[in-house]
Amino acid sequence: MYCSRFLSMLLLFAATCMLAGCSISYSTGKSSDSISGSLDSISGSFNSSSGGGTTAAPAATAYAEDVAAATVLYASSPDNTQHFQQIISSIARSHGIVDWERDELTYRAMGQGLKQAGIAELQIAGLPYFQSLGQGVDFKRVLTGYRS
Amino acid sequence: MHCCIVWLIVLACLFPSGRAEAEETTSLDFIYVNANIGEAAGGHAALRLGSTMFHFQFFPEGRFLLVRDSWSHFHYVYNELRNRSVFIARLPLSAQVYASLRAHFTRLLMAQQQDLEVLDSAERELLLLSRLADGTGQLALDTLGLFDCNGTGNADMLTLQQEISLQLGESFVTTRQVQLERRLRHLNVDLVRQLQGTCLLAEIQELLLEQEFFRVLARGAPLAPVVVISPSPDFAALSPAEEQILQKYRTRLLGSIIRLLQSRRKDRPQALLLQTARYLVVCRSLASHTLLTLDPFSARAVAVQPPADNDLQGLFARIRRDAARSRQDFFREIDHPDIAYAILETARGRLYEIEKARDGGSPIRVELGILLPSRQGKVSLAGLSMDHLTLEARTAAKRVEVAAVRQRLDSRYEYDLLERNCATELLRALNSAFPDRETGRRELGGWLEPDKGLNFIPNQFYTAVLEEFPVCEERALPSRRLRQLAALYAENNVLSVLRVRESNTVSSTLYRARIEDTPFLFFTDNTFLLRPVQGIANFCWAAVSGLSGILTLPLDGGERIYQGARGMFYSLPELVFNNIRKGTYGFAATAAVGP
Repeated sequence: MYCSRFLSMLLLFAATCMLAGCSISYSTGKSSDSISGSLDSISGSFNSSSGGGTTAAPAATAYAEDVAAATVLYASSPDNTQHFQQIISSIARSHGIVDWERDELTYRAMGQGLKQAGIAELQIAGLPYFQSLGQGVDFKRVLTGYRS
Repeated sequence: MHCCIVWLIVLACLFPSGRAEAEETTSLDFIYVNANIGEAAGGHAALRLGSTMFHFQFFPEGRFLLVRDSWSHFHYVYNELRNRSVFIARLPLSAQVYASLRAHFTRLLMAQQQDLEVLDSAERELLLLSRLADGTGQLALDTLGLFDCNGTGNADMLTLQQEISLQLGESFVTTRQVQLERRLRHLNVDLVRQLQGTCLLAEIQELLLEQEFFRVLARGAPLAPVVVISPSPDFAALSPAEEQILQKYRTRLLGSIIRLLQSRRKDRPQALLLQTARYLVVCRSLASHTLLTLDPFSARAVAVQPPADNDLQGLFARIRRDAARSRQDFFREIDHPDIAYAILETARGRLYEIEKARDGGSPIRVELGILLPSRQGKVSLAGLSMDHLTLEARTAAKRVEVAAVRQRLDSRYEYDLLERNCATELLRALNSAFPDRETGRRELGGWLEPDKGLNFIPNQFYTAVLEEFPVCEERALPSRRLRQLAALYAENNVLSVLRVRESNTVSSTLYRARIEDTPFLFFTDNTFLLRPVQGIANFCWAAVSGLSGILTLPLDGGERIYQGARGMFYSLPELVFNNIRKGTYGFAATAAVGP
């Protein structure tokens, strides 16, 4: 009698546990505060946050994608040029790039972002940040990215 | 889908390696990772586009965030270390839809990052205001700690000074210093007036840092001794060919410094200090014919205790291999030398940490991703004369602002067991890529609502994906133990003996019990009918182990009792034919099998 009641309670508890457990989905890696979880994050993860491998090329691709995405967001409210530059600096840092103004990939990716945002080519020079580039080589790189 | 070993063995033979999955293809792959104990008890859901994973994770601060990962790392952590089977449903996409989905998920990630940076920036401003209000405070600034600010006369720094004078004019540095001092003197006025459209507090930090840069340059300050690292002697020696490449990189760094001095970027002082520190360490490398790099860890790094010896050796092997590869890559890289150099710095920094832990048991600093050296140094704020009352008022206002931003973010990125978990948010993120349901259905061939039925449960989500979308291929990557078990069975004839030996944690040769896995006797991930019986045995085993913890209480602080209770808990699902616990692996034996 007691045995069967105990078993029933166990089964009920197990079923409840399964239902609750099924959607607890946070995993290890970055999010975990456990020791092994933290160490997971350094083994084989040079640019796991970039979504790439351990060489420069995937990080560069991810950098370009991020810059393009940030440019799409900037194009929707282009008032704060300084903030846009800060965002690009922050993205560049996360991909191991310090001097992003010198990297032509930056400008090509911005051009791709403008294309994704649906900005007409003639409007680009009217956006404050791109206006600040003048008609120099960096602006031409933006147009190259836009047309690619 | 659940763990039937015969099925998994067949699949394992068909798809022997997870690495083959990393190819770039124009498909959207729905990923389901089955459960294991602890935070993984419910399974996990993710999306893969090419070799990039997008998924949601719960972070210690309580936020539930979109995360991007490489497939190789995701596979390594979930399938290898966490010993969980991974199921993949591949949905073919046109190149256009694929590109648009990748761009969409990247935009979501960037928008999230910008949200988090608003908080980060507000918190930094609050800290600065508090320090200024103190009146006597000091402020820690990133990258300043890379230099020994009291040192003088560094020959390489003096060469750099001359180069700057040569390229930008004799008076360039002096003029800039005067401008900076003048600007800092006017700060109090601006604090009251607040410049239109600019963030004055951020500007104060940049001005202080730029002032320090010119001081460091003028003094000829050397690098701080602790920031130069040189792991393993056999990793250090430079070949003549490598020296040539490093010389070119030094010239590149010099060019970068000159350019940054003329840049209008507001955050240029930090970049200037870092590029200058790199310039000095490269000069020193060339002079000593050994490869030296900067310590890449920032103040955000978390220090953790080293794992057990076996695991530490395994981890060391992996990190060492990564460091060797990154060195090779840097000296071969043509298109992106700056990224390759940052990867090299990061890899060597991590290797150095593991070596220190191995040799002296010191804690290991852990920080994710590609790192840029940014050791903090302190600058005095005593020279800034500002109105105390104004500062106090601004500090109070900023405190309110920070609280509001934090509350907004907590609410936006909140986790909810049923309504905002890894499956529901993944579907919401995917659906938001399309203007409406009809377009989404047309582009993807199907449509799932996150709040419909049991889609919030990861394995039900996966089942629904298989039913709703025109999936062209389904794959399974059995967990590490099941894969090894299949290989063992394939190599041996005496299966009955092997089955008995590998069925339990005591005699298994494929698995070594780990305290965090909770005490259990039988593996139940590859059985079904016997599962309830084995579950009872596991329950009793955990109970006995927990009771024995009374004896070890003074030694382990109750850890054995706690793990015994957890073991009993995770045995319960087995009584109803379900399995959560599978055991996990440390780094000890993963060196050869990782991605």
